[in-house]
Amino acid sequence: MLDIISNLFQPAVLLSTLGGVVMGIAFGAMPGLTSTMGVCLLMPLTFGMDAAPGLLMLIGIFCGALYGGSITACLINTPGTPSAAATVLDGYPMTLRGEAGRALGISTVSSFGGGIISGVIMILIAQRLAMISLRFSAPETFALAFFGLSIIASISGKNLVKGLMAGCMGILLSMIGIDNITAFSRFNFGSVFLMKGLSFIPVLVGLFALSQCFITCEELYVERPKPKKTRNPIPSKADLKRIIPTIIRGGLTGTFIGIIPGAGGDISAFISYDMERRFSKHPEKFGTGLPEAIAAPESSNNGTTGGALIPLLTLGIPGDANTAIMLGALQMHNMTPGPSLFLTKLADVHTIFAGFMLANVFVLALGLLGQGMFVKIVSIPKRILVPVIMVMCAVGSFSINNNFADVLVMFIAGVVGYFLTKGGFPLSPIVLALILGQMCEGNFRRSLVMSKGSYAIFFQRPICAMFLILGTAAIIWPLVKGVRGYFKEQKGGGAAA
Amino acid sequence: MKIISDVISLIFIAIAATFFGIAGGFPEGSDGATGPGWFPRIMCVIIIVLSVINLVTTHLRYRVSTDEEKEADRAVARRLVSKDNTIVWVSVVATLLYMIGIERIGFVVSSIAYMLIMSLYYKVPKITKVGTVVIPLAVTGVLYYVFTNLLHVVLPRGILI
Repeated sequence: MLDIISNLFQPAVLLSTLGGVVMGIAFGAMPGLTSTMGVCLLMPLTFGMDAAPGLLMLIGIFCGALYGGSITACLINTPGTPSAAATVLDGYPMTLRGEAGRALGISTVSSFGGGIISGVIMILIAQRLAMISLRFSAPETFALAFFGLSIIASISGKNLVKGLMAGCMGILLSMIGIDNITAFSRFNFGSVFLMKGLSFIPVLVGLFALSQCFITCEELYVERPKPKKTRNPIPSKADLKRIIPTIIRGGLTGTFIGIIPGAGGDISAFISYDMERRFSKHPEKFGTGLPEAIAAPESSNNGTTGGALIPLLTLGIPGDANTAIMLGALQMHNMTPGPSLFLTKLADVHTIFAGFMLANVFVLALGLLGQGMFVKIVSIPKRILVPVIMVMCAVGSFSINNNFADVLVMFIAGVVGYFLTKGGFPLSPIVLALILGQMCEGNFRRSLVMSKGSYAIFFQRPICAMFLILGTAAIIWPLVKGVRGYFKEQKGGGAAA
Repeated sequence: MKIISDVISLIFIAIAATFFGIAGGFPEGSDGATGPGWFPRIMCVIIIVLSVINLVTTHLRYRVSTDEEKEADRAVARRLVSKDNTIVWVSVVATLLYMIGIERIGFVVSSIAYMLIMSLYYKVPKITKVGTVVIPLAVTGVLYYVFTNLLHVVLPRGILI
């Protein structure tokens, strides 16, 4: 325990966590800048750090950004992140009543509460879950990677086919470079740079940060409305009494939804908002600025942070783009998720757990004390931000391998990401596939070596079969739903005609 | 969106077909394991099938859409090459030139020049005119310090710094 405290209160750990939360809130608060962009851009900064402070900086950004989205949701009726979309419904009406401080205070305390609840659950179950994965060998790891890839179906939304296309292209791109079973060099097109494969961080930075800059350029002169000034952000005793049960419900819901790969803060916020309305004695007052209607989505979306870290740390399955980037960061710091992480790097894991709680304390402190500063940040014109972010994209990509080719890869990924977004293709599947592709292929082939070419090995092992069935169901179910919806639509259209 | 989606589908098919052809020349597997070309070939086939499905479903949806929806769809593609979108293409070209400049001229000079030129091109508001000069200098200075001194990254130096 003393070790954890001494690790946690090292200046590097404290500063990186605090810095991460500050930057996360800033990224979350600015509409157009996403938490994924923040995690992407600041990830190269963590390479020079030790594992724990580096990862805590990213976790700080993750927690801060999910909270930061509520600042603009309450103040200017624009959610800074998709997760804050439900907060707008009651946050802004409360601001219109002249209670901007109260709205932000409630959202801050709720975000803190949701984050802490998810942190406690993460600490309680993560290690136990990781130990289950001790039984995994190549077939189970392949099945797990396949299950991880099946998340693509749920994060593709309405564009399932496009999501699957993007995911498969990501897997194909992950195969560029030396094959890790036969050491045969694949798809290098005579380039020495491509022999070691595509470095996924420049691809990430390009897809999420640079392409977003190009999209922002389209509306560069559409400035955001000026946020209102806030006063007295600390919630009253009456408000606290009213929102605490909501925070507990929201935090638990958020954690549970966060554990499910593919379901993130935006889904959980709406589910919690809806649940709260159903349980409320005054559902008709929702949308008029009710404290519990702000607390429910805010506690829930921050609850997903700890939830999403559970499968990441225990099984190496990222639930969304943010945790996919964090998986990359873990690998960069030689930390392999799963039981070995808990056996060999237990001190780092404990520091990460404690740091996660600390990040949420920083969210509370900064949210209550630093609102004036964040209101100013929201006012920075996009015209200033865009060139600065582009420079950060370039320097971040270069710093990974000190290789200029990575900068060009990032640029190409940025332009490709811009066109893919315009064509309605989701970008997250490419990232997931780029990370899990090698793991999936390598373990599939190792399994076949184990079974001397028999595919039965995948169905003779219960855990492996379970993951394969779950993964297949996760891909097929949205397809079936889509086809049924299409025929229903046709039938409805035909009947109407 | 249909036109852009169709073009992307065709590009995906072309890439998958190229990779499929290349993977055909990879060695066969041994000891029951599949060779290095097996998995990529499967992926290529799936990409081609999905791309065709996307082309067909997009076409079917487009056919039953209303005239307004069709017009809105065409507008998305037209906007890409319209005058309104010049700012995006200028930003893309400027960013590419900046990235080449990092290697040829050096990180410090090209970053300051890039941010300064882009701020002028983007017409930064009057209140922040001082910022037009100060921000490029400050951002470049901070990034240079952090990466060079704290992270020990040797940033590119071209003919200048």
